[in-house]
This record gives sequence, structure tokens and C-alpha cells, in this order.
Amino acid sequence: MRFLHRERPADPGTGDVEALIEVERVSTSFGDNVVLDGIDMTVGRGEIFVIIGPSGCGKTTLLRHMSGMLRPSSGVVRIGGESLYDLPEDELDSIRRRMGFSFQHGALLNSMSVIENVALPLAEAAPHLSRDLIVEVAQMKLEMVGLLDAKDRAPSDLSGGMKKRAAIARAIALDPELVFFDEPSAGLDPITAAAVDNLILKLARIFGITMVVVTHDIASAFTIGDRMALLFDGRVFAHGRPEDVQQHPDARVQDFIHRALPRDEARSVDITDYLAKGALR
Amino acid sequence: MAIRVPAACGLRFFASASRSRSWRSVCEIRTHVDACGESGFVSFPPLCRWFHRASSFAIVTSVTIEIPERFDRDTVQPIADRLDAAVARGHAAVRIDLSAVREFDSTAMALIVAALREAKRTGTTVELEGISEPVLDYFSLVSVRHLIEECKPERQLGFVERIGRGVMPTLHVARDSSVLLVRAIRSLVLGPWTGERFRVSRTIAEVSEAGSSAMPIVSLIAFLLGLILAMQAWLQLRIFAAELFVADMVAVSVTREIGPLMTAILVAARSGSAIAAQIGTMVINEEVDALEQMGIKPVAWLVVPKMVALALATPCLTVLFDAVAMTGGMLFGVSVVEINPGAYLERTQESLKLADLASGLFKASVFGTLIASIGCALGLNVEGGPEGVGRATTRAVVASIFAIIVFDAIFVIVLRVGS
Repeated sequence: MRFLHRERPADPGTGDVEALIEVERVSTSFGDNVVLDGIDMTVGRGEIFVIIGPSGCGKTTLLRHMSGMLRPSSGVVRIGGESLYDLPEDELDSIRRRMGFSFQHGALLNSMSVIENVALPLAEAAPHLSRDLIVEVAQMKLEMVGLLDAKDRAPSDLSGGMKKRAAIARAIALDPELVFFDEPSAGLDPITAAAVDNLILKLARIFGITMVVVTHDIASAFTIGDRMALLFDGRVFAHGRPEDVQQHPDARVQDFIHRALPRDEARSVDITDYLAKGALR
Repeated sequence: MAIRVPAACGLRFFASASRSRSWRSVCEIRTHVDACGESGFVSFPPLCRWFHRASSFAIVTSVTIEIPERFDRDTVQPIADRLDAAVARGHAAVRIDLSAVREFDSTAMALIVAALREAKRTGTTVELEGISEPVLDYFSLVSVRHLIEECKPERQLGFVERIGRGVMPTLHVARDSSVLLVRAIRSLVLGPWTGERFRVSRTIAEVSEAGSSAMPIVSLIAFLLGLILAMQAWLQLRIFAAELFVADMVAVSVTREIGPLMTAILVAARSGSAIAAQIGTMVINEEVDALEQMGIKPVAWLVVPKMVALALATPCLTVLFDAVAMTGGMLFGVSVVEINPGAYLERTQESLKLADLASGLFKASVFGTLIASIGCALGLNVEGGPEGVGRATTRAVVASIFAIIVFDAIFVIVLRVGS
């Protein structure tokens, strides 16, 4: 079967599953600004892989490299064993059609209604299907994310959480084997964020979709992640199962996970101390 | 074999799929499933009930459609056609045999939902046979009843309704801009008493934006139009050996009609669109709400300065247009027609009447007010995000030009009847 027989590994996260995405020595810089510096990571088939890290650490750039949107300055990205950026454009397109991408702000096409947005990838990929059937598929995808009742609304009339869910519906429109999520819970209230997490988990379980999720929401990362990588300043700091990352010895990893301020910033300047030293004299 | 859904299917399914998870997370998911039953993420019971009801009907004639091994978007269309034909032929029961299916996708599942909906509509029974665990898993993500019952086909619009849908937006623009115009005039006139201060500096800035910056383009177009007018007039007048009257022709047509009209169209294209886009963007970014919240009246702060500015700037630009166009005409007359410059100027002076010039400038001022009120009204009523701003901008230009032409026609009739 197309995807339902791609059984989710019995114990995802052990690392002994077949690798789907391999990132090798990927480095990227924009001008003098080094964004990624020698990234190595592997995403196994069928697992939910979470990339966490502070804002501006290169998470989104890495996701764009993995999904074939942006060529890294150096290094190799392989999907299913094929080096993504060595493929001719048409083969890259056919791989892209087997992947879904849920953008941070939804990236829904504003000129179309929600259902037209979800129907668009299928209408383009399978022009021989009847319009009714394509709409039926789109309705089913919207039902999966709980947006069926809002199908005729314009994207601009949707709330933040609804936009995210519509974006997910569009990302899974072509029954992808691999879905990338850029900040699925950013800007959402905790309950809506939990509902989005739940949706991601359910899609992964039932369809066996491999998912790569970029987030800075620690709670969400530990809820959904089978394995995770912690990025700091363009480097992988911790890589492995959530338990391993949680017990990582590095102080910066612990600070990030426990939302502690870096030590030098955490301590406030003691004004009397400052005055005592005669700095203002 | 009719569909048999094991009683504990939902629980068992989740328990087996979540082997690696702790028992607690399984419970959480169960709770979520129950809680979401209403909103329609997952619902087994409706599915079961539906199938039970469907299979309990008496079967008169039936047809079985066997689905091949591969049941996905590449192979689904012929099956869809066969299903449609089977339902259309009026079989009391259609059996869909899924037992051979080894591979399927969402399109295939959508076909099944479509068949169930069609069956419900026509009163046909649809039985699903040989349904496999993965297919059931798939349907655990959706509520089939919700899909079938909530999605009613779109209502076709009647003839009158369609005309109304086409005409109403135009009427709405007319209504909104006249309401806004009245409010702006009230704010301007009653301002000293209601505290809605007139913003002089903002108005000056708007005049400079809409007026001074438009001077180069207005001059260029005026000059070229003057040349064209003079040439067209000359081509006709030389038949009667009346070349000298090129000067009259240019002076009268420019001051009465072409000057105010062309200037207004240019202002509509330049400033009308800019006003709609600027105010529309402010509405989208909640800036207008912020003004209101701070106790600043958007009409007094945004709309009045723009209206006053355009009401002043358009006649000023028209004066410029008139002068440059007559210069262009004179250049053509002197160089090509070889009229004596002194004679050309004299004819021009003789044919120009203060009433013509004044009526032209009055018209220009009215046009400017129209452009500003239409632009502001469309900007303030923007709906639908950035896309809406684009729409409002286009409509502002089109509606302004339309209003300009309509009002010009009214002026022509009124002024001719009056004189």
C-alpha cells in the first residue's frame, strides 16, 4: 500500500531504522554570516525528528536544505540515498511532490479559499481526476485537521491556529511520505499548540509519515519527538533520543531545556556594588 | 461479507499503534478521541451506524464492483466512472469489494466517501466488503457522517441574484464614499465646535505629495496632448483655410474639458490608488483601530487632509496642465502651421473666457474631492488581508475614473442648460 503499509517502526528513535534523510557536513553562510557550520544528522524512516534551538540558530535554514528549497554552501543532503542537489530539476520536483511542507505562517495562497488551497497540489499533480473527486479529497484532508466547516473561508479570515491547521492539510494533500514543519506551534496558545501536536502525532502514527519538525517550543519538542537535535550557533550540540538530550551534560543544553537565562545575563547588576566601586565618581 | 467493525476497534487500534508509548499517553489519546468526536477528528460510532443501517436495507438488484489491487489516484478515475454509472442505473445496492486492495491513497478513500454521499442522495445502499485494517485506520481520522452530511452541494444562483451580485459592489462604493464625504465635510465645518481639529501640516504634506510631485508627469502629458490637439485641429481647419483658429480650438477644448478631465484621471491613477493602498494597509495592520483607540478621529486625521489636499491640488495641476498644453499647441502652430506667435497669442487671449477657465477649475476641484473620498472609502472598507488591499487599489482607480466621467457629463448638461 502506498503509505499505510509503511509500518511505523516498532520502536522509533532507537536509531537502527533505515535512514531517510542524511545530512553530511552541511555548512551555509550568507555573506560573512555563518549560519550552519558542519551539520551531520540522520532522520530515520517513520520517525518524528525534532530540531530545537534558540531563534536565529539556523533551524529554518537547515529545514530548507533538507526539503530541497535551498542549496547549502557545502555538504550533502541525501533523501532515500539520492543526493538532493545533484538531481536534475524535474527529478527534484518529483521528489518534492512526495514531501509536504508546513510553513511557519501557513503560506496559504490568499487569493483562494481554504479548500482551493488544499485542492491545488492534487489538481496540479493529477489533472486527469474529476473536479468533484479532487474537492472530495480536499474535504477529507480538511476534516482530518478539523477545518471542514471553514472550507469556504478566505485564509485571511482564519485565526492563527486555523491557518496552521489549513497549512498542515495542504502539506498532506498529496499523501506525502515526508512532511516538514516549520514552527508548528509558534504564536499559538498552549491548548491550540497541544491540538496541533496531537494532530502531528496522529498523522505520524496512522500514515507512518516521517516528520521533521523545527520548533523552539521545548514542551512540544519533548511531547512529539522520537529523536531530536539541539542546534546552537549553527552546530549540533546534542543529538539523540529525548531522554539523552534531557540528560546531556553540557550546561548550555541544560539552560536551554530548562529555560534558564545564560549565567552572565541572569545576574542583575547590583547598583550599590557598582556605586561602591566608585564607577560613577 | 458485510463490514464488521470490532467493538473495541478504536481502542485496540490505538493501543497497538502506540506500543512504544507509555500506557499514559495511550489514555491521553483515547481521551482526546472522545473529546474530539464532536468536532470530527475521529469517530468510529457514526461510521459503524452508517454501515449497519446501509446493510440492513432489503436488496432488490445489486451490482458488485471489484476494486483492483492498486487503488490510488492513477487508477481511480475508471472506478469512479463505473461507480457513477452503477448508481445512475438505479441499482438498489452497490457492493464495493475492497478485498483485493493492497495499495490505496486519499483519493481512493475520497471516492468511497463520494459514493456513500451519492448513495444517500439517491437512496441506494452501498456495501463495503473486504475492508481491511489499514482502511479502517484511515477512516479513524475523519468522521464520515460529518463529511457526508455537512457538505451540501453549492446552491446555484438565480438570474436576478447574479445581477445583484454584480451591481451591488458598485452601489456600495457609491454609498460608502458619499457617507464618508458627508462625514468629512461635517468634521471640517463643525470641527471648531466638536474638537475635530483641522490638521494643517498634514494637509500641506498631502498637497505636496499629490500636487507638487505630480507636476513633471502632468506637464509632460499636457505638452504632448497640446501638440496632438493642435495637429488634429489643423488637419480639419486647413480644409477651410482657417489655420489661425487652431489657437481657439486648443484654448477652448483644453480649459473647458481636456484640462480638468485629464488632470483628474492622472490624479486618480497616481493619488487615488496610493490613498486606497495606504489606508487599506493601515486598516489591515490595525493602525486605524489604534488611532481610534487613542481618541484620534480617523476621519479628521486621515480623510479630511487628503480630501482638502486633492480638492486644492487638482485645480492647481489643472492650471499647470492648461498652460503647458496651450504652450504645446502654440509650439505646433508656430513651427508647423507657421502662424505668427503674436497672432497666436492674440487669438488665444480672445477665445479664452474667464467663465470657461473657472468652470474647468471648479470641475477639477470636484473631481479631486471625488477621488479622495472614493480612495479613502475603499481603503477604510478593505477586507481580506493584503489581497484585499490590491483589490481596493484597483477598484479605487476604476471607480474614480468612472465617477469623474459621470460627473463631467452631469456638469456639461447643467452648465449648457444654465447658459
